[in-house]
Amino acid sequence: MIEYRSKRRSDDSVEVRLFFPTNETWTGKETWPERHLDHLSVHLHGVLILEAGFGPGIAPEPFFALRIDDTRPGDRLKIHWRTNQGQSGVLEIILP
Amino acid sequence: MSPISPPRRRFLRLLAWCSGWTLLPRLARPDDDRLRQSLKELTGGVEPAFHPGVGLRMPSRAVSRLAVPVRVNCRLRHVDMIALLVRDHPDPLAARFNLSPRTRPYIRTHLRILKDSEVIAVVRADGRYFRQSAKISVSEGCS
Repeated sequence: MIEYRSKRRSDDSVEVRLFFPTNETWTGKETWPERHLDHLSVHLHGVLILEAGFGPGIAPEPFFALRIDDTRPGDRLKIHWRTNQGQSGVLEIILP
Repeated sequence: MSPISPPRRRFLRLLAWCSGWTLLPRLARPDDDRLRQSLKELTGGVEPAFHPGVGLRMPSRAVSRLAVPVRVNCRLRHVDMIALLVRDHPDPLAARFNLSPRTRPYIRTHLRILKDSEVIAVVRADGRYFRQSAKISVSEGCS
């Protein structure tokens, strides 16, 4: 489950924020995690606009913000994500 | 050409000896080897140059070690890759973003940093690599 927020800025770009909450409790004493977000891709109308790869240094509850140019209200953004243990998901956002 | 005077020569020798003692242990750290290896894999062996156009913003003291906010905002043109590395991590490459021309060279994310370290942002613009770095302390405050 991804939480997201998208906002059209005054310069007509759109800022998209993604947050991947987990229901786990973190003490901060953990060493390196077995499970972490591994891959993220963002498609706008089927065209890849951002691809990201992560190591164990990413936060256990990852957060990202990106800004996209040349979009119109109603454009569809598709986000695919995958962890290093094979869990995956898709989110579709309609841009403001 | 006048020869170097003995006191000056002695001073230069002492300076070289002192700097060697202070720098050598740092260069030999295994963490630096891992960082160097990750940078080499990332850039194909090209040494990224420091550039003020690579804006790296993060707190100097972290509130939480598990979610240190990092923002990279570049003023360079044709940026197609942004990577974040943490010096003392077992796997220093924490995140790598490949951008298309429609995506602005602006990324915000949260990193897990468990001890005082240095975050390095590497950016590829027009096929050239640039970097910027910032130190962070996580040894104070809450975990």
